[in-house]
Amino acid sequence: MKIALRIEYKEGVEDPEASVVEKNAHTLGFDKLKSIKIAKEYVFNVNDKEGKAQVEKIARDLLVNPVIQQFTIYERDE
Amino acid sequence: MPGKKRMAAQTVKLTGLEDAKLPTISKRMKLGLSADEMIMLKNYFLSLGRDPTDIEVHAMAQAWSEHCCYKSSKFYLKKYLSGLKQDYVVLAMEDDAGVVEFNSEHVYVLKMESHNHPSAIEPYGGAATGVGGIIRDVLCMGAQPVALLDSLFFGDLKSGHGEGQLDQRFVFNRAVAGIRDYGNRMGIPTVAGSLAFDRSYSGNPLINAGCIGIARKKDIVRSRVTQSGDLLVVAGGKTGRDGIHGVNFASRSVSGKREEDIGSVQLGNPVTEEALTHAVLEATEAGILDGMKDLGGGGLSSAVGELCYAGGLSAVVYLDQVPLKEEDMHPWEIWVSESQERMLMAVSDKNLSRLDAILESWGLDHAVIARVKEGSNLKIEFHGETVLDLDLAFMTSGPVYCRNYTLPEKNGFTRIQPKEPPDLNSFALEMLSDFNICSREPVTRTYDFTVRGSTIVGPLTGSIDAETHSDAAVIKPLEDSYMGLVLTSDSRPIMVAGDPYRGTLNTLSEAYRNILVSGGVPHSIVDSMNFGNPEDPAQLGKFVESLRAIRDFCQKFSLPVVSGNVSLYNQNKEGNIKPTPVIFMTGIIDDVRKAIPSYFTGAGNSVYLLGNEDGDLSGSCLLHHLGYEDNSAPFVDLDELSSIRKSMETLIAHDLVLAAHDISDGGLLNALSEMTFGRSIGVSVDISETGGGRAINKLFAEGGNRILIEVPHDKERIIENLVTATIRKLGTTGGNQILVENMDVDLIDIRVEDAKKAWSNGLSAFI
Repeated sequence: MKIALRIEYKEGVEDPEASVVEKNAHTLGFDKLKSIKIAKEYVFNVNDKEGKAQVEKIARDLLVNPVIQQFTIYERDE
Repeated sequence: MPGKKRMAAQTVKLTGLEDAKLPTISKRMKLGLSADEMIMLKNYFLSLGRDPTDIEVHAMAQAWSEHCCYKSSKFYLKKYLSGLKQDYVVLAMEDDAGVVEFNSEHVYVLKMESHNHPSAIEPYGGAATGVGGIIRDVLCMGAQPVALLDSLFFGDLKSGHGEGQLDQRFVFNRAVAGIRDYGNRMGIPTVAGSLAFDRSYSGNPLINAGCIGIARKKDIVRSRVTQSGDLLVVAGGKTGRDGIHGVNFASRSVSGKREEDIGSVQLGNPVTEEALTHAVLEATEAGILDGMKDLGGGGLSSAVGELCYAGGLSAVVYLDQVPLKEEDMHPWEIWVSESQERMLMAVSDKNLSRLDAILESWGLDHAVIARVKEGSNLKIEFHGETVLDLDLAFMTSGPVYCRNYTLPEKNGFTRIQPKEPPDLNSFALEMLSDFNICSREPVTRTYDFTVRGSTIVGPLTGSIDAETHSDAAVIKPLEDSYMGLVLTSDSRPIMVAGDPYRGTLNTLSEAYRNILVSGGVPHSIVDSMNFGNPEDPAQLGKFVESLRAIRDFCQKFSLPVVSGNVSLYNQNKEGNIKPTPVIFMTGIIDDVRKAIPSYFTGAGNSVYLLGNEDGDLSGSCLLHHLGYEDNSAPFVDLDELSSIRKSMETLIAHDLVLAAHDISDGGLLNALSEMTFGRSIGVSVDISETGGGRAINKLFAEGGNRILIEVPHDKERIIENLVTATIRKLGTTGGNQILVENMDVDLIDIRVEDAKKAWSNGLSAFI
């Protein structure tokens, strides 16, 4: 099964990339755009439930900086 | 905003509370104020006959934090460092950065600050915003930043991490990356600094960032507003929830729980700051700014308060006008947020449209947030409601503590005499690869130190592929002048831990000699003091002793202390850090083309040692390497240093110095080795005549005011006649070996190539 790990900045953490995209979208005239948030998604191909648990461990030990980032894990369609 | 919940200020019921319950409020609101300070606050509001609002309480807590009002250090700073001014100093310890005369038209502007506590939590963001903050400190005086320096201190890289602590390698790598990314993206060269490792910095790394800028005298903008009726404009980044309570947090020791400290974390955005730099310099050149201050620790609260108070005025703030990152922020959050890349400018109604146009052209968010007025009270309005009304004098002055301190025991010299290693050659290579001695290239190479095209000497110098450390960086700040700035930033924490007074003098002597050997004349000092918990009398005693040393040194050499920073409460679970005064010294060189290299320039030249030595191993990297802790540091003879300066100046004036290098970390052997690396030219010396006793003491002792110089072989007689300080010929350059002989015994016989390899690879496995 495919497990997705989505990592994004916590609320209130400065994200220069997002502000640049937002500013340029406004410059191009997209006036309905209120704000934008950028996240990164990893997709793991794992064997079973235990694999899913391992993804969470990988997130905590390797990929997420808990001071500035938060993450969600969910099963993804094949 | 219809349909939206508007945030409002809340009343804090303080005046009716028993004194014993006040600390609970301080804790709940994360104010970082002591029980006594809470009582002072309560009494103030009792005298006003009302309870405070939450924003008033937070504003007071910011203003009274150690970081903002220097309550534990102010008394001693004043006692020791005031009155060290020289005629050529324009502003010392008055505004956001020191201002010193460079030539008849220009001044240089400089400052160094620590960003220790944020870097302990998030090393990348902490170090990066430390750089961003120091650049703004120089920028807000109206100066173009031209160079950056960093003195960094980390835990033992081999020790991994203690419970609740980050891995030391992670902290080291991320902090260096943060400095690299901010400096490089801003296009300001990182040219000098220092790096040290000791286990006392585990969990509490020290990140000291310095910046120097250049400005025309007439363009200097003061950190005060003196025109009543002026408008205050905030420009640059938007205000968010990042960095709330940063200063309260910096004023206590680092908590073990990283994730809960999220409020203290800021990530920088150098691209915004780059634009801000251009805009500020344009506005400065147009002469439309009446005052300016950067927003750092304490946010708007500290910047608005200090800008007005310094000019004897006050203001009405329209807090709802501040551009926000998030809509639902409480007024107190807006007021104390430490979001980065923001600048506060005072401008008249007449000039507002010009300032708007400049900020607009650089794509910067900006808004008028206050009007300056006569009077003693600062007022804040939020959607028409007054949420703060406080006496500025009461708010900004803060308490002053004159706590008890105890002086450290004085031991003279070390009694530790380590065994001579059986194989000195392999031990020499081991010492060359010690973390505190080895090549800093893996770090400095990641910094862009030539951007702006004004770096004459960077952190690495020599032939391509054979580089060595320079003693000080040399910068040519003006296009149409060869006059240069010579920059160094030094610290000797092992020595200061042994004896704070002598250790600080050793630090100053090293910085002073770094300028001399580069061909410069020492000109000004910035001190960045990193110490432990000031409530511990022994720690405070170390701080006071260190200040006393700075005063004595500066008086002796007529040097001004032009700005500085104090960071206290640096401790981890095992105790306080080693006391770490960082000295950022600036020198002037009349012609950068005459800068002296730190490496041997040719074969067949003579090598001389200037200065006496006593072989005292205290405070040395050797003892640290072998695991000894000691409570002594080498004696520094300031009269000798003065005569060494005269001798160096005479030799340089006669063009007799081909290369020069001071002896510091690692002692004579390391200094000699570093001099061979720059062009892969070997050296052969005989140290029988030098003082110091045993071979190991002669090779590795670090005290004294010693300098190694390379001079032309046929000028020996002239040189010996010109020099008034102790001078001794050691040997000759040439070959591809480092040969050291003592009493007819070959002590050291290693190939330059092998020494270079050991020295170069010390850190490479850890970065």
